[in-house]
Amino acid sequence: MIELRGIGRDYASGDATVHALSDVDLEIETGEMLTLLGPSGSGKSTLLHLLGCLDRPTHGSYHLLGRDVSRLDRNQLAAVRGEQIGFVFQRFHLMPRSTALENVALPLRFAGVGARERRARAADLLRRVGLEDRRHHRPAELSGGQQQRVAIARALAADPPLILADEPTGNLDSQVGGEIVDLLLELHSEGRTVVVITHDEGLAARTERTVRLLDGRVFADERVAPDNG
Amino acid sequence: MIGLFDQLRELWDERRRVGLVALGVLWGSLGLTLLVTFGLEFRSATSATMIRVGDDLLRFYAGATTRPFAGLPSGRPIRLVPEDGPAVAAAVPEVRGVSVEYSSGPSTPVRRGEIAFDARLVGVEASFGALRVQIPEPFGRFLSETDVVEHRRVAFLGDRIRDQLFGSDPAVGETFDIFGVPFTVVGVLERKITGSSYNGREEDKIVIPATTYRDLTGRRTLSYLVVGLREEDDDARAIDAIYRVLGARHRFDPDDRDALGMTNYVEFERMVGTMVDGNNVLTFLVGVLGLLVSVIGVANVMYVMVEERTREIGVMMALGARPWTIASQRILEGLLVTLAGGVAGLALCEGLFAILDRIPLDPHARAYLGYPRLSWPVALTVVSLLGLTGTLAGWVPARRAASLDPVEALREE
Repeated sequence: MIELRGIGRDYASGDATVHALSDVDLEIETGEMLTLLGPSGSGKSTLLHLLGCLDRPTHGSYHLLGRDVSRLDRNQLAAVRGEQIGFVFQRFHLMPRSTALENVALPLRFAGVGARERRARAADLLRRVGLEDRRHHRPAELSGGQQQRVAIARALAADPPLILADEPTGNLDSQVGGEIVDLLLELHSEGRTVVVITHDEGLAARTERTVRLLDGRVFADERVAPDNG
Repeated sequence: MIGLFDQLRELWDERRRVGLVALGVLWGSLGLTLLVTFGLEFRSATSATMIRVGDDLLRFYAGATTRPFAGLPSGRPIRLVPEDGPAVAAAVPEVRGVSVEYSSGPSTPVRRGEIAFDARLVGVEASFGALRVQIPEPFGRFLSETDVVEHRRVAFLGDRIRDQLFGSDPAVGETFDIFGVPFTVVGVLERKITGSSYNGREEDKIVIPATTYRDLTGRRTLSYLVVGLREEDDDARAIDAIYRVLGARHRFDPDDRDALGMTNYVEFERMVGTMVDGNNVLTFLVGVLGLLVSVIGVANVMYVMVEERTREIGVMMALGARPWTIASQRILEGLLVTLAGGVAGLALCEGLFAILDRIPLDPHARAYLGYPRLSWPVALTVVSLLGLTGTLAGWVPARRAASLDPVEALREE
């Protein structure tokens, strides 16, 4: 599914060059669920941006579903994001003036899906995350957990094979966060590939694979039996 | 591509700000349309006023030679005589009509009962009526051929003379005295506003047959020879021909143009037309500048909207929106706001014109103002300008939005 080879990402910072990522090799199988762990500045956000085709690597190659996406232009990357990748953000990033239903339907708008079908699919997805009675509420009228559920429904709108979650529980209390993790595990059990960035060791313990980053390099890549008891 | 409906809703969300900006565009388009329409109407009203002096006229008068000719010295005065009129009319095909004109200073004694004053007296031929657009008020007429041939003592009055002599009483058919000789009024000049006049205003003149004028004053040489041309473009050729005819009759060099004075109203009209056109170009530019200022306002506000929504734009990009989708939203927004404001401006403009039509105005003002109306060419010009500038207004913010780095945009608070 995902094959990173010799990935590096440099930033110019004044006269100096910051090596946010250096020489990262990573393979992720289809249907895998893994956690990217690491302290602030370890490069995990940079790696997520690269995985999400929001950014391009300075060095190395990135094959997504067998296709080299490391040299695509902005339009091609947008198409890849729209079709293959669903994002879940720490701060939910819902459109503040749109209802839950409209938020979920948004990616379908960019994919050129007709209005009627957009609404139907968005309503299905909201039902799936247990928010069908909140579909006409705006984000400000929803709790944090509910907003994150809407965001997950939105990530699923275009039915992408890859879900990328950036600290999805970071702004939630532990109980609500746990429910969100349950939802992500459910997506994994359906066969989707799920990559989660987190500080949260507890969350990492619930996934079968943990990749630890430090100073822009892969520091450890552990496969353990997930603790989902 | 994002649907128009979503676009409209986004604008609705920002309705206060967008409304203010559209109001600015409304002013811009109102200003431009008013300037252009008034300019065009002023142009046509001005030439209408010119035409009321007379269509394609030349006026000749006495002069003096500046060079010797056929053994005659220079400095010799040349005076026009009544026979010059028919001679010019017969010899120059470009001429549609000729009238002699005698004109006195404001010192002709006029009396009716107790009312007595001095006025300007003018003696002309019947053709003068058509050449100089002497339109009579109802129940009256201008002088006729018969009046001239029979040396009749009849008069055609300027409307102010009529007011002075008769007040609000009917004047046609009534008599009054000129130099103590009784004259009958055959007509009164309809109120008329002209862009130019010579030897006093027409409303203050008394017009009588040239033959009668000669009888009364004993004068033979003309004040003016009034010549009307068939085509306005013929003036140069016609003038050459007339100087040849009159040069032969009065024995001066036809190229000696000071031998006879001449006023060319065709040229005058052309000059005024060029001036007004120049003025119109200027007002158009000023109007366009005003519109541009308001459109820059649109661009500015939309730019701010892009800045404020940087994070949302980043999210949309993450969800698969292509840069062009993001950009086209901005361009469409700019276009919608500009067109909405602009078309409202056009509508308001038309409303103002309708009100203006109903306002009673001094006839002199009305003669130059005319009755402005929104015309299709002006409306289409303004709308296309709005479309063009609206697209430009959206362009800069669109470029900014489309060039956002999604990673940076998502980091934005």
